[in-house]
Amino acid sequence: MDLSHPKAIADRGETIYREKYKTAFEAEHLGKFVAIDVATEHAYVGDSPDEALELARKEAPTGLFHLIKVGSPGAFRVSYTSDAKLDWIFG
Amino acid sequence: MDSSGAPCLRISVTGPFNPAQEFDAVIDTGFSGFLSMPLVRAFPLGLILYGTTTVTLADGSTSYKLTARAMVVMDEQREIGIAILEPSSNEVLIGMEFLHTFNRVLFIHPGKPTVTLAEQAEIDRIFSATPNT
Repeated sequence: MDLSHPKAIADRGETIYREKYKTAFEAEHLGKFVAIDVATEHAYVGDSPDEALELARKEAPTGLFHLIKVGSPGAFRVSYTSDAKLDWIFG
Repeated sequence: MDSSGAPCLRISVTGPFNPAQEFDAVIDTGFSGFLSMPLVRAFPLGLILYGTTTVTLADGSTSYKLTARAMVVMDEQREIGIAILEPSSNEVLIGMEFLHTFNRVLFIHPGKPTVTLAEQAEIDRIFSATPNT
């Protein structure tokens, strides 16, 4: 599993969430935040993004996490639109 | 207000190792997060990478972003939150989670070029002291 590229981390996090947690979490934790450890596939749930990621960081200090808001397409809303040509990391 | 008329606030951002750096941050109420900053400005601060997240853009589409742990200092109050690292932006933005974390209420006076971030407890006291009509 090559996680050297940020897009691979995000894709891996989304895949783990969809396959292992999405159905149960949307029933039990709607609106909460979940940090997915993309190496161990563990999920850490919190009421806020900070809580989920701090919990994850305590359990896996060197882990890489993909943050998701349960039931929402994005963990955060932003007020701008994309210019994919300018995003040299995720394309 | 900044030169474009956007509400603006001076904050300091720091990671765990390096000294804080001051930024003029735009208060963006359309941003639900804590802090958004240019990726290249995060490196000198030594922010610790959390990983990635997905954001919903204004047109409803989604986009991946890098995330890091950042400490923000404002009026000697220090709070830790998640910074979204933007690869192609020059702006530092603070959002609704910032106001929530710092317990502040935003006031913008349309007739005067000033922005006030009042303490939430102070505003709550005013509302609780105002009789219902």
